[in-house]
Amino acid sequence: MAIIVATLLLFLAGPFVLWPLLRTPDEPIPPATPGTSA
Amino acid sequence: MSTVLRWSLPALVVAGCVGYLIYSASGASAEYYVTVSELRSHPTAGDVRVAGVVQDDVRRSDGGLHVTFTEKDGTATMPVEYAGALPDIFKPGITVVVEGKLDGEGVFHARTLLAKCPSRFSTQPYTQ
Amino acid sequence: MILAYLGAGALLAGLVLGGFSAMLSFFAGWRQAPVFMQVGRRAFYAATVMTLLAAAVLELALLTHDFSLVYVTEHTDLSTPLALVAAGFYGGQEGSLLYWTLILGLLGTASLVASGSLGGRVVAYATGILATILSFFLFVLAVVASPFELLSVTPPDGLGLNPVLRDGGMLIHPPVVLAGFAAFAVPFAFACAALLAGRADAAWIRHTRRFALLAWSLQTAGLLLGMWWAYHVLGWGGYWGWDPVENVALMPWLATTAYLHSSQVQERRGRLRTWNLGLVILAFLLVVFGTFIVRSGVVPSVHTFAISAIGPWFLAFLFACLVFSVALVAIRSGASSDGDGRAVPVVSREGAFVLQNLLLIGVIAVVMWGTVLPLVSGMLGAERVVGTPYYERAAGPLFAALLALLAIGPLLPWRHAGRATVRALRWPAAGAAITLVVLLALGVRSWSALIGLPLAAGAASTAISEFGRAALRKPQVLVRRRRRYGAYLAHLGLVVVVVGIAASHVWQQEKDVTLQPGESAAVGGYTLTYTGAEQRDLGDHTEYIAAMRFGDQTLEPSRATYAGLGGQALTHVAISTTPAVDLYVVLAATNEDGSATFRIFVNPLVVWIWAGGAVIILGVVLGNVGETSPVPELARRRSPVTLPA
Repeated sequence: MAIIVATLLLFLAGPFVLWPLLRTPDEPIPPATPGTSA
Repeated sequence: MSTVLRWSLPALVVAGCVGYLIYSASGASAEYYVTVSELRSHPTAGDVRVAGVVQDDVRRSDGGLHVTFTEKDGTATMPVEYAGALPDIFKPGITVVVEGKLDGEGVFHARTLLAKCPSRFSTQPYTQ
Repeated sequence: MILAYLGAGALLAGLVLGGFSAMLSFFAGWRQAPVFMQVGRRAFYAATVMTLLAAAVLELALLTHDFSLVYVTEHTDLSTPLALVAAGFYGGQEGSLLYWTLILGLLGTASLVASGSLGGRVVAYATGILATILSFFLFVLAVVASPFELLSVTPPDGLGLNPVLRDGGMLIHPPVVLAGFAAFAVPFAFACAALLAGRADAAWIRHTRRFALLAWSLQTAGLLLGMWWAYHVLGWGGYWGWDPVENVALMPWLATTAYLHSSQVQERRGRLRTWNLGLVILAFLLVVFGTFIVRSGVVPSVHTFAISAIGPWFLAFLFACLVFSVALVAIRSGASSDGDGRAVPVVSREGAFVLQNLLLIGVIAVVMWGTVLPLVSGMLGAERVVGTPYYERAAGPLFAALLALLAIGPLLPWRHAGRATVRALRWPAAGAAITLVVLLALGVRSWSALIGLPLAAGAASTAISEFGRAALRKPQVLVRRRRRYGAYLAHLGLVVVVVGIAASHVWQQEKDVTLQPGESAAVGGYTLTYTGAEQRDLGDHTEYIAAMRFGDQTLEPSRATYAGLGGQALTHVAISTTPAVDLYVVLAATNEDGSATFRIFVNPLVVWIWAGGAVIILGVVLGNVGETSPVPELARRRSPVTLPA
């Protein structure tokens, strides 16, 4: 039962977590902050 | 002189002092922590700490500041005599830790008495 | 019941998200893939939200008296006051673990959200480390020790909280201590992340300073609250027993103190890098070690802890953290040696900081040895234990040396100590000398007082003279350099605490008396009269009060009997507090002949301990609120040094 709840919650969280991957290609991805390449 | 080398000397001095302090302090005040049966079979000179369960024969006197009772663990029992204020939860059935000496007649004279506090993490497990 | 499934599900979801975040973040850091770094961070935030959800569910279950949950039944009942019901959240094993995890998630999230300026790789690795720690706790919560376990039959009422724990101190002390521990995971994570990413600069220190300060403040407050609670509730006249539970809260505090000071040297001079890494790792390992000791039952303590299933897991986690840290330092230590090769004299402020590190580690060693001796000796043969005399004898000289450092250190220059330094040292020297003379004149012959109090006076003189110099020359520097003067205020607070501890130790008096109503007793120059006994019925307990008159005050030490708990009796201590002394009265027994037996303590300067603690916190707050400008590096300006991965 807990596993079912967990799966539901993961589905809800999914879009938020994976958003950077789901961006359409023409949306700019925030550049890495300047001056630090580490 | 490199940084590491220059600091090694003070570090060693401090480490040496700490080591000496630990050694001398524990040598002077460490006590054996034994069970009742161990104490009865191998009486030790000097103070020891003993843990056991308080039995039913608690007798108080002198305004509640003097108490005798029997401490038991496993099968061995031992009469204990203690003068001082008792912890709140002291009653037959609880575990106490006493510190003191066993005398020639087999009575333990406790200098300090501590009761095991109620667990922060459970009053008692709920049995159904 | 639904709540239980919701809570358990949330924990499970959090575990999955945390594990995912850890793996992806480490991968993203290694590959330097910004998009994966972002996803990894978001997964951590989501795991935190799941933890928050689980925590809210548990609190709701407690507040609605949902006795279908084992946890609610074991720690509350219908008659428990609401505040204590709510506090039951962190009152039990599983709940306090959940609380720890929640704080970790929240503070970790805060540190990551604010980390924009650090550079992707460090942040990614820090996310990975934080997520790993979070996942471990969520694993234990989801699989080993769940707060959401159900009873097959819901009882009509719970077992309730033991009376000893029903107290205001119980409301505040545990969450503060646990938060202080959890907060230190942040500096640890960023330190290791910087090492992993090959960064040798102090950026991670600046970024995590807030969290280290927060951790230290919470740990300080937690220790003082614990002492306050022990003093006011437990009734043995003291506030610190060197019990394993107390010791494992003290050790991380000592390491955090060392780290807070030592990290400033790296911020300002770029030095002591290896020390700082070592200290931050040590402090975190001590936190994990303490958690293990307290929850596993392996070391004998007057606090009974149920030997629980989580012990072995925490031992394994401790071992894993140790291996990880040691390996990291060993492999990466070349990256962190001090770039500045200039020789620094031993007698300098930097030297004082190094000595402070050595001494504090020495105290940790003393406390650690005393704490694990039963375990070690038990394994090798006859079990041996040590008590207060050991700790005082072994740690006392080290504390005295630290006090001396407190008096001298702030006056030493960073480089060569010359005539100006010797002139500045006249203040602490004068303070110490005057105090010593006064003590000797008053007939004091106790070694610890004759050494400790003059040194404390010296440390106070240093702090005051620094304030005085600034106030007379350029008062605005008190605000501009608030970190420094806030720290001096905290030092002053610490001195006040030390004086309170010394006085209440050296000059405590104790007397047992049995009195008939109307009779008086004299203790330490104070006269108390037993005026009579009275019984009061209050809700869930009956209170038997033996009133004492002291001057024009009435003290009411009592014994309370709780019917709901098999007639167990509880002593309520009566304390009359003045700035100079505490009069502390315990009702030991009431006798058939109408007399009452009391144990009376005269404890000097106890209130200085609590007041000093407040000053310490005030100093930290005043010194750091609104402080955003980074400390100027006085050595050559550095850009982040990156070494090959």
